[in-house]
Amino acid sequence: MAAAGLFLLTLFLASFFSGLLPDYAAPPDFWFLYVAALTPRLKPSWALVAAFGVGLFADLAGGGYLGLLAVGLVMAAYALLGLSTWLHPEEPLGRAVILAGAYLAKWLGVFLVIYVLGLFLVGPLDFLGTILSEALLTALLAPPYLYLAGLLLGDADHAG
Amino acid sequence: MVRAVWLLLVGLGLVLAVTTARTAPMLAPEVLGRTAPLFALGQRLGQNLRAALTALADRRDWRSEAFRLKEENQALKQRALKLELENARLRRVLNVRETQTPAVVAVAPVIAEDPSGLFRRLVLGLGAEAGLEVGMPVTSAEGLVGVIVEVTPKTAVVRTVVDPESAVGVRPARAPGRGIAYGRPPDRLKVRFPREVAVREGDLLVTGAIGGLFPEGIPVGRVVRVEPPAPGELLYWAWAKPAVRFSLLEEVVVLRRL
Repeated sequence: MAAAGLFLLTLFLASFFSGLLPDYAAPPDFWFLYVAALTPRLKPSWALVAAFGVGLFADLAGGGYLGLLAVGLVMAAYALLGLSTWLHPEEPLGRAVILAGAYLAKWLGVFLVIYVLGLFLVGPLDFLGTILSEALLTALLAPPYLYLAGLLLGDADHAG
Repeated sequence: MVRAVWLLLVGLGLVLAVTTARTAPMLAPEVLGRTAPLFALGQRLGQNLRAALTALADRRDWRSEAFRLKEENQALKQRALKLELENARLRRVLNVRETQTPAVVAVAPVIAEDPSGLFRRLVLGLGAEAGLEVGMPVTSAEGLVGVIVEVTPKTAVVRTVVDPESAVGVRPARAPGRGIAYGRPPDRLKVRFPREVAVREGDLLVTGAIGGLFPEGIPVGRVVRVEPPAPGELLYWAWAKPAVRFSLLEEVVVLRRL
């Protein structure tokens, strides 16, 4: 129930920032943050399924390529799980590195789909501005969002 | 197990992407119907907030814009004033050109005047290089100024009509007859008329000597006093105030020599 509430809040925040920011600035990726908040609190396999579902919903809601964000978020969730076993998610620095790695993994998944779709005209450099803008805003909003998610969902099971 | 799920989901995602790439599927209408209000609310709030912030920023811009426009307005006012003065000056020149003669050689600035008080002479800021020559009449919109008596490459000296060495052939503007106006510094003309020429106070005197230095009809002065002729005298004298106020002259018009 709390996860559903956070889902609706995430939907609201994503649309809010989409309307707030000018066209040249990519809004923060709240779906990624949602997956980052959800993953440590679910069993690993379910966390991957949930990430896939969230990505699929975002793809469908946005009318883009189906599977683009789904694969990206699955990659992010998988990276979160993997990095959490190596690093210390209970420490701020560890959490930051894990999140950064997961974020990179998300984009890796997105580019994997782009590659498979044969969209060779679009390269990583074409997304550089978007990635940087989105990454910056996501990093800025991650602490309050994850804090709020912690209040709603309870403590995370860092063991994954 | 986790890795298998991950690979499965990634594979599924890729298959979905490939198979639906050309159709761009959307959420089912019933799902969209439920999520759209929340999405629209967030979007609208964000847009309104952005509009409010933009309006605030614009307001700051308007202040600076208003300040800039005030400065620009001030500069334009000054420029307009300058152009008005320029326009008035050119109108005067045009007036001279139309009413006196089309043979304007130059419009010359007055850069100095004789400080002695004995002579009433002006120094012009143009000289032989601008085509000025000795003997050229000099006028202004108000009337006759004098004649050029000396020229250097870049300056010229004008002997005004009130200079004691000046003698200008004149006639009353509304009566027949001719006379000669002699300069009497600092600001008077002493005019000699034959007895038969009827001149009264207030009459305008204009240039009018036959074969003189000046074109005909240029205002020279206005009669302020007439001395009645002595018995037996064939001539009499009148005093006139020059049409031109020399101390206010800034520019003069130099005409071609007759």
